[in-house]
Amino acid sequence: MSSIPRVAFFTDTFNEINGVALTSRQLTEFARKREYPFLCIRGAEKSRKTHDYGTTHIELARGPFAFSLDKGLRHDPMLWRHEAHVAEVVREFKPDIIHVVSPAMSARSGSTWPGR
Amino acid sequence: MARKMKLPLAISWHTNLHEFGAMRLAKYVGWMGQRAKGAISQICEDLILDAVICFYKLGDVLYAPNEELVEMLQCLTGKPVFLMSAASTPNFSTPRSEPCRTVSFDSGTSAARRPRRMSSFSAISKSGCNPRVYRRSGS
Repeated sequence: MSSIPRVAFFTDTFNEINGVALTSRQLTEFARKREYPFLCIRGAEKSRKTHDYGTTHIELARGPFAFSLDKGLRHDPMLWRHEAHVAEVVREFKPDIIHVVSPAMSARSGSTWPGR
Repeated sequence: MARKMKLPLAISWHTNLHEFGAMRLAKYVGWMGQRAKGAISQICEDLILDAVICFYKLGDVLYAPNEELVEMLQCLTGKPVFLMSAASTPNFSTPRSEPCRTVSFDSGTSAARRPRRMSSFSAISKSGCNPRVYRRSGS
């Protein structure tokens, strides 16, 4: 493993206004500014993949089963349908470590999806 | 994924999901008496905490936003837990190389992330990390 580890980061919330989202944005920004290899995977309105220096953003569209978990925060219990896509992206990224922020939503993928 | 790829898994604690879940449930059973509502909320909180702790046990290294949660997670999971200090400089480390330090910032008030029952945390040590005793000690 190189001195700068490749981090695959799974978060439930990113663009919303809450502490976890802010932490996620700050962490991602930290990696982006330093051009560290960083993969950020999260739920979003639309699926898309973007690159920003060393940081890759993977947004997974929440589906019709998504419901409001908290103000401005939606939870999609069916987000696992993106499993194959996420597994492929992560394998391609070749992370040294996987970081998840909670048991919910996309975070589940980092720890449980491909282990099934 | 972490297991399959044989990668270290880091999990950070940001929200007291067990308290959040119990609070949400309490709203739906508000029509019940205070005692029944309290009992249901407590059962719900216990079950969620059990599930959350099972999830955190999957991690190789854990991060928590304050000392009380660091101690609680260490106690209930037996995993190495590190503090996510507020406004500190993130330092990416992994359990493979050297002991992990701070991995991220956090924001908001510490009180929001501090479990209500942490004030009686000393009971956890005395109980030998039994979550049941931990819960009872806080009620």
